[in-house]
Amino acid sequence: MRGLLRTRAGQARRATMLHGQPVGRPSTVLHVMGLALVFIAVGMGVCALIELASTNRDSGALGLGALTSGGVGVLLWWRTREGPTRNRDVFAAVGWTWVTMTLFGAVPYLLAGTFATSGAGFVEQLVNSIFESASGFSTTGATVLADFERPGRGLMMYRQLSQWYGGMGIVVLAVTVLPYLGVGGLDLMSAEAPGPSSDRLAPRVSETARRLWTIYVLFTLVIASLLFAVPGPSLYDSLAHALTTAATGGFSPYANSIGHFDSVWVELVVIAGMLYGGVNFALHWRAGRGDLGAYARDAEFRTYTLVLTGAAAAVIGVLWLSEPLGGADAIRAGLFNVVSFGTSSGFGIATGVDSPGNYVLWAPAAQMVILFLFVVGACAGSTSGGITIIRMRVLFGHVIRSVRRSQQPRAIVAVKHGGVAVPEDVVSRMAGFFLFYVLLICIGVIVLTMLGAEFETSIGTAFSMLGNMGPALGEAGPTSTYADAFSQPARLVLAVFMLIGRLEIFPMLLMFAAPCRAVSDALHR
Amino acid sequence: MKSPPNPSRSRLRALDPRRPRADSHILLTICEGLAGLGIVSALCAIAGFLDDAGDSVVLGIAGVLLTALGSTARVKLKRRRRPTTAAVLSGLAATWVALVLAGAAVYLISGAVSRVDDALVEAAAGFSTTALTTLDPGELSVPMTLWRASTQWVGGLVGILTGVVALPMALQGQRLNPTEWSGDHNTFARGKIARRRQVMAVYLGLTAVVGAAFAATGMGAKHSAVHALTTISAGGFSSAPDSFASFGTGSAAVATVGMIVAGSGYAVVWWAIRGRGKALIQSVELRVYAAILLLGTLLVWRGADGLSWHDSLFTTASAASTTGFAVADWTSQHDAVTALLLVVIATGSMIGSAGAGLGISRARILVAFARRELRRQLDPGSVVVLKTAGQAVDDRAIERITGHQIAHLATCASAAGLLALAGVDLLGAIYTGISVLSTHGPGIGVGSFGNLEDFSRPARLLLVPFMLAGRLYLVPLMIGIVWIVHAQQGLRRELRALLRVRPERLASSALFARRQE
Repeated sequence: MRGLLRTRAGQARRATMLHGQPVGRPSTVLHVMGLALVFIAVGMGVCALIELASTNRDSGALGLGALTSGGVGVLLWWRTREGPTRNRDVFAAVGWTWVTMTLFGAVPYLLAGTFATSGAGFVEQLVNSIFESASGFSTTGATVLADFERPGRGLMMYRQLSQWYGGMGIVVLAVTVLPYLGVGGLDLMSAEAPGPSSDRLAPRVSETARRLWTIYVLFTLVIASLLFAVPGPSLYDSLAHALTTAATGGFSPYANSIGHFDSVWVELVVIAGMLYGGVNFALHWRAGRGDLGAYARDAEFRTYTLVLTGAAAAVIGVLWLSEPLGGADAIRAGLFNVVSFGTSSGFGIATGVDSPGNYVLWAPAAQMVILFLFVVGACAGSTSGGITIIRMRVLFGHVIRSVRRSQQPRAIVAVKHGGVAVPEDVVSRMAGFFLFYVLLICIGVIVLTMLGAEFETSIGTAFSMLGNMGPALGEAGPTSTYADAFSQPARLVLAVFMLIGRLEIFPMLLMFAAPCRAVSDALHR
Repeated sequence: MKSPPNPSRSRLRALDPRRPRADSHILLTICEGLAGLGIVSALCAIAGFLDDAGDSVVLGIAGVLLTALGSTARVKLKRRRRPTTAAVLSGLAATWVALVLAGAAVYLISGAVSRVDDALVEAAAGFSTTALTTLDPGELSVPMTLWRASTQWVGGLVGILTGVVALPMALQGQRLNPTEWSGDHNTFARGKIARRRQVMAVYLGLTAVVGAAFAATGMGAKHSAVHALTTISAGGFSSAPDSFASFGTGSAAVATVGMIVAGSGYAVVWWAIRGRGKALIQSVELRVYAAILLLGTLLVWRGADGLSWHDSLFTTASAASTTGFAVADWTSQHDAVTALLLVVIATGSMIGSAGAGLGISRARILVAFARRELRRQLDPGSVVVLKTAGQAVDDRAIERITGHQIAHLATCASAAGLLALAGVDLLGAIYTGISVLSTHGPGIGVGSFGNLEDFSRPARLLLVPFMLAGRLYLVPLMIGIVWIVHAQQGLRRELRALLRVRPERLASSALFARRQE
C-alpha cells in the first residue's frame, strides 16, 4: 500500500514537472470533461463575437454560457490530473463528458430564451434547451425550434458549431492535446468514434487524432468554399451549412433546411459533402496520401455505395411510379433524401407540407426504404450514425455461419470482412450491440407511446434517434418540430436516446460503472 | 490391389423377403403429412355429412386420395435410419408446401374459395396456424368449417413435432433449446417414434378436454369443435367473423385457459400431466411466460379503454401464445397498448409449444448474452459462462440463437418492406410483418379479427412464404439464404477465374503447348 502511494505521489510529481500542472485529484473522467468544456466555451465565445457583430440579440447569453462552461472546465482541468484509464474509467469519461457537454451546451439557449414561446414555463424551456443541445452534439439534427427568426445569427452559428464539435468527437479533440493519456487515449477515441474500431493513422494516438481533425477541418473548409461559390448562400450560410454537412448533422439556420435555397447546385454540393462525410476518415487520409485505390479496395465502402445506389434507385422508382411527380422532381427528392438519411445527416429539401421533398407523404415503400436507411447508417469511422455498414456485413456473415454450423456442426467457419477473418470477440460484441439496439428500440417505442406519441411516429423516432438521423416519420417529419409531436418527458427520453446513439450504446450504459465501483469501494472502506 | 467384393446393396435387397423400397426421407415425410391431412379430411366429411353433402363428398374424396397416397408411400418408400440434416429440413419445408397446395386444392374444388391466390392464402394461414382469413367463416358449411379448423390443428401438431422431435434430431443432438429440456425433469421418451406418440396423445387429449369445456359453456357442437381445434393449435381461426366477440364470457374464459396452455411448452404440459409440481415451479421459462401474461394484462387493462380485466387477459394470452383470437377490437386502442402487444407477439410463446415467435427461452438467453457482452466491455479478458436453469449454455448454442434472432428480425423487415411495396401503409406493413412471422396474424393493418379484405391481392400472396417461414422457425428459409449466398460466391469465383485468364496468358500457354508438341 505504501509502495502504491509512493508510486502515485511519484506520478503526480512527474506530471507537475513535465506539464507544469498543479497536482490534483487523479481523475480521467473530470480531467477530460474539463477540457471538453473549455473547447465548448471557446466555440461559444467565437459565436458570441459573431452575434455581437451581427444581430446582437443573444451575445450576452452566449458570453455567459462561455464563461460558465469555461470557468467550470478550467476548474476541473486545473484541479484534476490524468488518472487510471481502465475500461470503466474510459467509458465513464466519455459518457459523462457527453452528458456534461449537453447540459452546459444548453445554457446559451436557456439564457437567450430561445424557446420562450407563449405559455412555455421554465421547465419546458429547460427541456427544450437540453433537447436542442443533445441534438446538436450528437449530430442528430432533430429540433424543437419553432421560430427560426427569433435566435440571433451567433446563436444559430453556435447551434451549427455544436454539431461540428460532435461530428468528429470532442474526446477525439481532447486526445490531441492529451498525449500523455497513452494507450488510454486510443480507448477513449474508440469509445467515442463511430464504428467498431478506430483505425490508427499514426503510431501515436494523439497524432492519429490530430490527423483526423485535420481532414475534418479541411473537408469543412472545402464544402464552405463550394457552397459560397454556387449561387445562393451567403458566407454565413456557407459556413453554417458546411459545419453541419461535414458532421453529417443536419442542422440548418432555416426552417426549410436546404430547401430554403431551392437550388440544385446547393443540393449537389451538400450531397457530395454528405457522401464524403459518410465514409471512413481513415480512407480519406489514405486517399489524401495518393492511394485513391483505397476506396475501391475497402469492402465497407463498396457496400456503402451499393446500399445508397440501390436505395436511391428504389425510392426514385417508387416516386416515379406511384407519386404524381415528374421525373426530375422524383430524382431530386429521392436522391437528396436517400443520401441525407443514408449518411445519417437529416437535411431536408421540403419547402412545405405538400412539397415533393416531404417524404412523410411518399408511398409506403419509399418510406420503408428511408426507415431501412435509419437503421443501416453509413461507414464506421465516419461522422455518421446508425448500426453502420461494417456491422451489418459482419452480422450477415454471422447468420450465414450459424446456419452452416446447424447443417455441419463440426465445421470451422470464420466470419470474414473484406477477405479477412473477423475475430470472434468482435463478432460477439457486434451481436451484443445489435441486441441492445433492438432492445432499446422496443423500450423506446413503448415508452414514447406511453408518453402520448403516435405509434408510427414513435417507431420512426426511436430508429431516428438511435441512428442520429434527425427528422423521423409520422408527426416528426421534415416539416414539423419535435415540440409538436412529443410531450416534455418524451423529449427528455429522446435526448438520452440521441446520446446513446451517438456513443453507440455501450459507453452510455457503462458510464455508471466507475462511479458505482467508487461508491462501492468507499462503502467497503 | 482390389478390395474383396462386398455384397452389394442390391444383393442384400434381393435377399430381403420384403419388397425393395426406394430411400427418400423427403418424399416419405410429404406423404405422411398428406396422409394425416387425408384422415382429418375424411373425419370432417363424416362429421358434416348431414349439413352439406356436396362439401362432404369433396372432403371424403380428398381424404381417401390423400390417405391412399400416404399408405402407398409407406409401402414403396423407406426412411434411412439417420437422415441428413438437410434432408430433414427440406422434408419439413416440402411437407408444408405440399399441405398448403393440397389445402388450396380442396378450397377451390369445394367452391369455398373461388380464386387461386385466396385459396393459397387460406390454406397457408391454416397450416401455419396464423389467424388471417380471406373469407367469411359464417358462410361456410359445417364440414368446410371443421376442415378449415382442422388445417390449423394439423399445423399446430406438426409445429410441435417439428420443435420437439424433428429439429432436435435433425440438428444431430445439438441442443436447439438450451433450457430445461435436458435437465433432470426431462421425462420425455428418448426415441423419436415414442416421443411423437407422446406428443400426439397429449395434443389429442387436450383438444378433447377444451372441446368439452367449450360445449359446457353452451357454445354448441360445431363452434365447440372448431374452437377446440384452433385453440390448442394456437391457430386463431374462428367459426364466427368477429371471433370471440360473438360468444359469452364463459367461452372466452375457456379460450383464455386453452390459449395459455397452447402457448406453454410441451414439457410444461407433460409435467403437469405427470404431476411434477417441482419441475413446474423450477421452470424459469414458465415463470417468465407467467410474468409476461400478468404484466401484459395489467398494462393492457390500465391502458385500454373499455376492456375489462378478463378481456385484457384474453387479449394478452392471445398475443403471448400467438393464437390470434380477439374478444374486442384491440387495434383501435391506445397506441401504447398496441405497441406493447406487438412486443409480446414478437417475443412469442414457450419453446416446444404450438405457438411461434422468437421464443421466451431464446429471448432470455439473448438478454443474458447481451449482459455478458456488456460485462466484457469492462473486462475483455473475463470468461463469463452463460447459464440457464443452472446449466451452462455452450457457445455454439448462443451463436445459433443470436444468428436466428438476427435472421428473424431481418425476415420481419423483409416482410414489412414487401408489404409496403404492395401498397400496405407503413405501420400496417411493420405490424403485419412481425405478426405474421410470429404466426399470430391480426394487428394494425388487418384489424383485430384478421380479415384480409383490405389487402391487395399481391399483398395477400406475399404473406404466404412468411407465414410458412414463421411456422418453420425460419430454418428452411435460412438454409435457402445460405444456398443463395453459396451460389453467388461460386458465381463470383467463376467470374474472377474467367477474368484472370488474360489474352497474353492464353497466348503464352498456347506457345508453351506448341513447344511441348
